[in-house]
Amino acid sequence: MDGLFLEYVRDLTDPFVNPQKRVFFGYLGIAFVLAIAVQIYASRTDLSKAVAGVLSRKVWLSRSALADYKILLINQFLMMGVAPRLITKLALATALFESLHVWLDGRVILLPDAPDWAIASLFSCALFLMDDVTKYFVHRALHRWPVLWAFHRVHHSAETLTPFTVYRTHPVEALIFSLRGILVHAVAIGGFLYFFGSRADLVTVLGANVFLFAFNVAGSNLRHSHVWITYGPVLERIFISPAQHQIHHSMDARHHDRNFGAVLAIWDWMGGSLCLAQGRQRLRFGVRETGVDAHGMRGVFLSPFDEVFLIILRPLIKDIQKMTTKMTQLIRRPSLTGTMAFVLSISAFSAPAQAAELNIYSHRQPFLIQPFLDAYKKKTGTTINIVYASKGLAQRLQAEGARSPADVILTVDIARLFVYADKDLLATVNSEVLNKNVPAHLRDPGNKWFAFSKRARIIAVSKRAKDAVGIQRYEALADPKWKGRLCSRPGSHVYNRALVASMIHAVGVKAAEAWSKGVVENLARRPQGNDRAQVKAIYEGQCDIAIINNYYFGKLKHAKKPEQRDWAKAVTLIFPNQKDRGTHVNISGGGIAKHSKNKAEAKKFLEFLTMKTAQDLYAAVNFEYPVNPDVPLSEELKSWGVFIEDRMPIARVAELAPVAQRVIDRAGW
Amino acid sequence: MVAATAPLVAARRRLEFNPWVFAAVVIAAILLGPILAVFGAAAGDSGGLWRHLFETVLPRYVANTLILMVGVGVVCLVFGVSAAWTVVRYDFIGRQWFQWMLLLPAAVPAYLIAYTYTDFLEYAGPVQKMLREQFGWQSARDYWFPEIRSMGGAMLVMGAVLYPYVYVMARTAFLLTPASLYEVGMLANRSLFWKIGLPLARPAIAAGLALALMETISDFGTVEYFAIETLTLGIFNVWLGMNSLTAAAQIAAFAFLFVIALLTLELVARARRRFTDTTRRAVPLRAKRAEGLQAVRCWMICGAPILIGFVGPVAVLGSFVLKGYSLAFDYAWANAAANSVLLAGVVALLVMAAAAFLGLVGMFQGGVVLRRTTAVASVGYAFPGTILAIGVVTAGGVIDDGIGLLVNGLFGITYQGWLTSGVTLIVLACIIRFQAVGYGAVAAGLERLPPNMMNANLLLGHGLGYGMRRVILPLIRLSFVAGGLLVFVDVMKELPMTLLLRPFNFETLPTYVYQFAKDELLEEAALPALIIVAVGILPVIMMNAVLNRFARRD
Repeated sequence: MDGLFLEYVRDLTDPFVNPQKRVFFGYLGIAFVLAIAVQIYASRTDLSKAVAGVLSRKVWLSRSALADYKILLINQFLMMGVAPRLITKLALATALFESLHVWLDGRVILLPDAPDWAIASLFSCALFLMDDVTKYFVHRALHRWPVLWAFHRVHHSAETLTPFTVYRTHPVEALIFSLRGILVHAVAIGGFLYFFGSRADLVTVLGANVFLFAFNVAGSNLRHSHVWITYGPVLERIFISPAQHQIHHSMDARHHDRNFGAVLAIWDWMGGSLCLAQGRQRLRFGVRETGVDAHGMRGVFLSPFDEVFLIILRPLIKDIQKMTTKMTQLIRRPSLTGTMAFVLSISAFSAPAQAAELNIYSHRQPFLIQPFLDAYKKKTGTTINIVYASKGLAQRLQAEGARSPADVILTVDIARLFVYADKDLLATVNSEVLNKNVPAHLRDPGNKWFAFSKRARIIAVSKRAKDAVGIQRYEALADPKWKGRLCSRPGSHVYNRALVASMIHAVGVKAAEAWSKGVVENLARRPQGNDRAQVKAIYEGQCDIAIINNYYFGKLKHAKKPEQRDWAKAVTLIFPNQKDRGTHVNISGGGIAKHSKNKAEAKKFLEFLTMKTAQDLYAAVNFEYPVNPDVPLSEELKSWGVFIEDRMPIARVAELAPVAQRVIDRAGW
Repeated sequence: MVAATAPLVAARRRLEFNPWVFAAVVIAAILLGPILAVFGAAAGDSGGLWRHLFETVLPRYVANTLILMVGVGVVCLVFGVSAAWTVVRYDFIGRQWFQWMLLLPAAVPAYLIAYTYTDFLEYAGPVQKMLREQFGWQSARDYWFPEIRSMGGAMLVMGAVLYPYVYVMARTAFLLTPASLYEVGMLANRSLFWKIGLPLARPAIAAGLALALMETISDFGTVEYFAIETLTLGIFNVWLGMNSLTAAAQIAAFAFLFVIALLTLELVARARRRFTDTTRRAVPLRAKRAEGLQAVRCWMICGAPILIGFVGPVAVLGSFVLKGYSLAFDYAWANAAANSVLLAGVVALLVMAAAAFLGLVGMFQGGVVLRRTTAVASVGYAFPGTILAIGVVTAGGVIDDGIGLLVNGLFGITYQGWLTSGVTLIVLACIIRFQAVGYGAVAAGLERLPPNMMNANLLLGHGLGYGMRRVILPLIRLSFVAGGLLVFVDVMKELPMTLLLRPFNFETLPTYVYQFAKDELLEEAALPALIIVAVGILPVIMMNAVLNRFARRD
């Protein structure tokens, strides 16, 4: 018991002899001298009167001041119980110091060559700034939130201010502030020790942070007093003067929520809560009456809790009342949160890639791939997910980078496939099967992409146009005798672009451009529609000759709409250039995404696409030619005619595409 | 009625920093990020492509874009303004019906109307077939028929679905013009339309027109189908054909100039509209009874846009369904429909929340800089969807990379990425794109407020948040709802961004329809296409209810 009491007394007296505390007797003495000096200078009184004024009974023994002392005594007692149970800043700092080693994997010492004094001042400076800014924010929060204000009001209920008013706080507030202090010190100490080692020493005077020492010597105790000291409009934007803090305590509504700062006024300035002390002002301190005795210990320590309970419970009670009345409506109305939850669940389900699944980015329409996926699933049990888009998937893949869920890329022409390779988005695939099944001119020399089917760019001619049936070469289409009898989709479409590229490869840019211009000259109408529409135009008699991809003919021939079948009947097909380089073919193809997490499965899928089952499917689903030389043509395709294909390396078509587009632009196709 | 020269806001020059402004800046930054990413892509070196483009196709692109804009603008104005004036000024049988039916074309996507009209009016379509049978023509060479796949056709079909923007704005403006002004006009024996209604509604009409034209510039589906070489089509040619996203982004940035011009037009239009109604009892114009020939004229004026913009395409789609091409009633598109509705709903809510927040903070807190920023944050509308989507995915990738680096470095967690895949990205893209629609609605609502509302609130000692919640929002509620519905309908129709950004196996109605329509097999997807329109009808009808509330207000 004795020990406890002694400890209490020691705790009580310690602040007066500890230069780290504001009420250190030295600081109090300085404040006293300052106060008297100010009284003499400002009020022009003599020394004895000044001393009497400063030591006035009305201040030091007022009810408010007496309450300060009592609160100080009780708080000190309470803190004796609480303080040892709080986490210490040393423990927290150590924990942080250790964690930093783990998080940053080892340790780096910053600025190893800087002199010790520089690091020490940096540390002192940082600690002081962090300390001060957090004080500002915590203080501001204490005023801002009703629950916190209930406790902080105790401090503001002081009607006379003495240096001891600084201890007039509710224990809850004291707790908040000490936690803040512990946190800030721990972060600063832990962090600095980690980055700067033992050089992180505090610059101290008498064991106190030099900045705080300066602050206290400058008369910090007078902020809680009736002595009016201002620093002038310039300095008061940087430092909080005693007068400014007195304004903070003022009852005047103009002064509410102003000057939260402890040492620096900068924070108030930035936060828009600064109020300068201009001219001597008569201030009344305290807070509005609440019906509770502001200086009774009961009112000080217990009534804040009552208030907090009311603050928390009042809306709750209101809500419960509201809820019971509105319950029925609420249930009927589809709730917003429900909707959000649903959407989130969709995204959660659809995002990640799982093991026995394969994810495909496809430029080919889903309904054209589905049969392949079904066949593959039947064979291997692997589920396949698709994203289909005709444009921009390469950019998406690129942006996703290593996180991309995509495994396989499928495109319907060489140019787009080439873009993926060009942007280095494809993985190298070493597969005997693929090398065997795909002819060399239809795959990437670097084994990054492979063709799976061929599409021939052929000439469709009206059966009525006897003279045109004899056309044998693409080159012939530029002949002026076909003026007004040609139809085409826009030249910049990938299929035409690829054709022009193959022309460039065969005959050079100049001749290809002349050819393009000749074709444009012969057009019966502005280039428009897809290849299907060209066949239709022939049927309609708008023109006699069109360049189309072979499978459009098949689609029309077997269309659901009877009139489309008529369109197909109106044309015969010509496989051009049989006597020289062969008919231009484009490919549909694919590759494996560079960052695929499932490359083995992806490779199996690519191989599957080159085998007989899938190769036959290309013909069955979309009238495309197999790439695998061992797979025979389907009966249907054979009936259209067997042809020799242009065996230029298909990669060359893609390389020449930009040149071809320029040619097309110049020709105005 | 007071010509209020006092601005609604204190003209603050400096940017004061507080949590409101901070939040607004953050939202604006999120909205602008992807747009900046597009400009970032444009900053690269395009390797002399511009010279080539300038010498060959660019002048054509620009000319075509301008011609198309003028044409669509004229169609929108003729349809929208005349119909709006008719339903406000005249009372005729069926007026109530026409009022909301005139909004229906807004539910039809431009690419759908293009497909259906081509099918309807081309050589093999029912119209020409009938003509041939009637007159015994044998082939296309025997007669002349206007080509639907032409510049004129594009103007007509795009105008026919975009005019509701103008109609909505014009009708609201006509309704809000107090009858007293019209009475002055009557006394002076002047044309009410040319001398009173039109001049007063002009700013509102210009604002609606700006929206319609922005959509025209960024449209890809229709111009691709009709092979009209506009700037947007050029962007894609350069990007995919010449393999140069840089040059494509540069053209996009160039097209952006057009949009800046339009935005300026809208801003100027809005700035002129500085009069507010302070009397509580401003009576709207009483409609004039139209009978006989005049009623017929009213029907024709109101009926034509509906016929062209809604009945036509819906009938064509319906006929496909009736012919049995698209009767498969499968789970796939039911699922797509659910996704579409959810997506549209969520985006509409978020857009309106963002727009309201930005609008309010910009007006009451920000100062000039912030107000401009918030206005600029809505320019996403002007980019072709796919280009914007690339901007979004790029920005998302950068952010994800950053997060990944951070969590991996600090905690050793492998981060899957929230932004580069999943619905989040689509939602974000749609918000950015349709911010203009929401922001426009909120801005229009705010401008109708009498000044000093907020000042009164502040005088009463309430904070800004309280004032926004309890005073301003209730007053602009109707604009808010109207904007939200418009966004909903727009997202329902949105195609290119969803197409590119969606996660695996995620279909919306437009993406589902597109895979068939792309191959000119629209008949296969006629039913889902009809559903797009049908789902859009409900919000459109609700929008009409909102507009009617404007009329009854006060």
